[in-house]
Amino acid sequence: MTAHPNLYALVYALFIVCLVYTAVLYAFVAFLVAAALREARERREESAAEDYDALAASRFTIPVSVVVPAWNEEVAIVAVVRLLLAQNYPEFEVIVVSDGSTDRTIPLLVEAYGLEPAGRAPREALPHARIRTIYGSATHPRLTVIDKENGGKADALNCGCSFARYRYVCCVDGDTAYFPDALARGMRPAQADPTTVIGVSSMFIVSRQPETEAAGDARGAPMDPQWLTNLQYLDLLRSFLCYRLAWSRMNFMLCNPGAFMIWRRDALFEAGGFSPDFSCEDIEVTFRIHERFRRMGRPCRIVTLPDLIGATEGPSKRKDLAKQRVRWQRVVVETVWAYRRMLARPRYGTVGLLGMPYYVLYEALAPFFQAISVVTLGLAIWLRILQWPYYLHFTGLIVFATAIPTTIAVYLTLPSLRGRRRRDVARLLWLGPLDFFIYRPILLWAGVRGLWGFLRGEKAWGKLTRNARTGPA
Amino acid sequence: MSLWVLLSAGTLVVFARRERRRRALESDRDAIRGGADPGALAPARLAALASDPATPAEEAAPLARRVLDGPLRARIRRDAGSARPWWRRIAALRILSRAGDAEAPRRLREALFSGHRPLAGAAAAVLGQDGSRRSAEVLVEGLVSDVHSSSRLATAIERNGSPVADLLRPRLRDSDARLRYWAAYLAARWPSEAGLDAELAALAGDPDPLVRKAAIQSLGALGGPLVRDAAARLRDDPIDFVRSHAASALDAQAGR
Repeated sequence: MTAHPNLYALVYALFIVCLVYTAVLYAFVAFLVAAALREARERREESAAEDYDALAASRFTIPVSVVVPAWNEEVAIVAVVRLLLAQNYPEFEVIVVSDGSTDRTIPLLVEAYGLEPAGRAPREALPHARIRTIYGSATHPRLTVIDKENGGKADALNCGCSFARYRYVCCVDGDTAYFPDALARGMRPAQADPTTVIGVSSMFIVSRQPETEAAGDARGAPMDPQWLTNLQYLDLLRSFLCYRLAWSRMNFMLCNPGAFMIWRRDALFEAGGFSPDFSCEDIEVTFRIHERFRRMGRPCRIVTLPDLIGATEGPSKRKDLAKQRVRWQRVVVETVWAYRRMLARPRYGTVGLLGMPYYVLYEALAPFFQAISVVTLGLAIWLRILQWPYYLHFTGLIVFATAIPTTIAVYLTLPSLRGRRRRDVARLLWLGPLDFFIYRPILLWAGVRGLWGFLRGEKAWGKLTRNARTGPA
Repeated sequence: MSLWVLLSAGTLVVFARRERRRRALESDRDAIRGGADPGALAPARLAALASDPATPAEEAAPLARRVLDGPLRARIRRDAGSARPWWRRIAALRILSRAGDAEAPRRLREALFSGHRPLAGAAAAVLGQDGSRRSAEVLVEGLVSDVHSSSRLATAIERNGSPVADLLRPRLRDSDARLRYWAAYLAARWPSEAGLDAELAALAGDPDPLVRKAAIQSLGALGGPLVRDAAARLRDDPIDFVRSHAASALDAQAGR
């Protein structure tokens, strides 16, 4: 120890930095969880008081254009479109945009829905790659399929939104399957307050085979037994129910997620649509819309709901999960950097004063601090100054402190788990502490890799390998 | 660790209790459908059943009346006026409304005009399900006063089903374009109103495109000799959605 006095001081200083960072993080998380508990209850009671039958039958319900970007989605696209067309909603259209698919996405859709080339002009145009063919369906008049040249997901979304006829657009993923009441539930805040609600999102489950999960609205079916899928579901629960609900309550919801993002069309078009210049389009467009509306002093709300509206495909292999998270981390840093002018600026309200500091410290820079803590631990072991009993106690404290928001997220999702087996709920609960050992290391590696990718200017999308299907949807 | 164990155990207990309560509610509902005496249920369970949105209105009505005749009467009336949180107030209002209580429209009006958006939205839904003329009047008053989302109130007015043409028809000539729009849009439900088609045809020349759209939409739904002329005029409208609805009205007329 005497041979490395400076290193000893460095380790001590790094330990203090990590400790302060962790303490502030947990204090902020406790604050968010308290807000989320209240918000979840209010939103659920609102949903319970809703007359969904009247909304489903009413000609006054605000119509929605559903836009489905699809790039080589032959595995599930037919089932996903079928579930979207079966929405229990009075007025909607489904626009599938094949983004230069090289697999059987288009032939399968043509065959399943009797598609034929049809002439349709865009209502308002956002920039996008050249369109090859537009198809209509005689049997499903609500369906339009656009075959265009490859331009990326943002480009495909811009193309679909250009053809959208209705006041709200609901952008969804081609690998996510939706329950029949997804639109009715998602549009509830917009129906109640269309003048200020410009964006809405809601919860989904993670599954290896989402179209089977959503077919027949199997919300009470046994849960997917794969632990990696369950851990992703827990991560999603934590993110939506502990954090985003709280952000939504304090009006700084900074990520309307791509798997189910409803936008008021005029707000989206005014902001210029989706940008292909970022690694991922959803978070950036949310930041941009917030920035624009708040800079102009116009009221706006982007809302997250606790209602379960569908199932999305999660990677079933660690390698694929890491690849996905690398991209997510990279886009977080890209977006935070691009909109750094909002940081700590009262003009941007809670977005500038709470949302941006949170994103900078706990989303963008989290891998940096996590890496520091790992390095500090390594140095402490090497210098033989680590006091193992204290370290193990401290690690235990962190493991269970990290598991508490997960447990609260499971508590908040109990209404969505109605009809599930008690052992499924127990499984989610006991996986909470294990998350630290199994899941967090993957996120740590992906976070560091994403941060590094940002510094190197990487932009690659990296499509995930689709999970093998075990049976027909 | 002990806090985590406590929270996890609590979550499991809450899950089990909610499941039990849900199953009990379903079994009570099934038993009553099967002819069991609702009087045998504990008052709180009867109230839960009567206020549960999943209980169909026709089944809930006798249960709600029984609740108001029972020991919870005073509490329900008190909750309907001022209970917090707001969902307790709505549960009480739903019982009053389902029981056909004379106080219900006034209490629901207070909730609709409260300025509290979730409470107002829930009150609009209950007024829509209520089906009484007095509730429809409250909804029209809410629409005119712009106390809540107009599309939600219009949905509730249609759901209510009471004839309100006498209240809304004067709004076709209102100076507020929002009210002309909603009156014209809702007018499709009043086929027996004499002279209504002429008023709607006149609105085809309205300066507001949304009003023109609603007018031709309703005129198309009502049918009659004035559709062709009005739709032909709007076929060259500068606004695309007006032209589109004019074409639909002409198609509908041709198909009659």
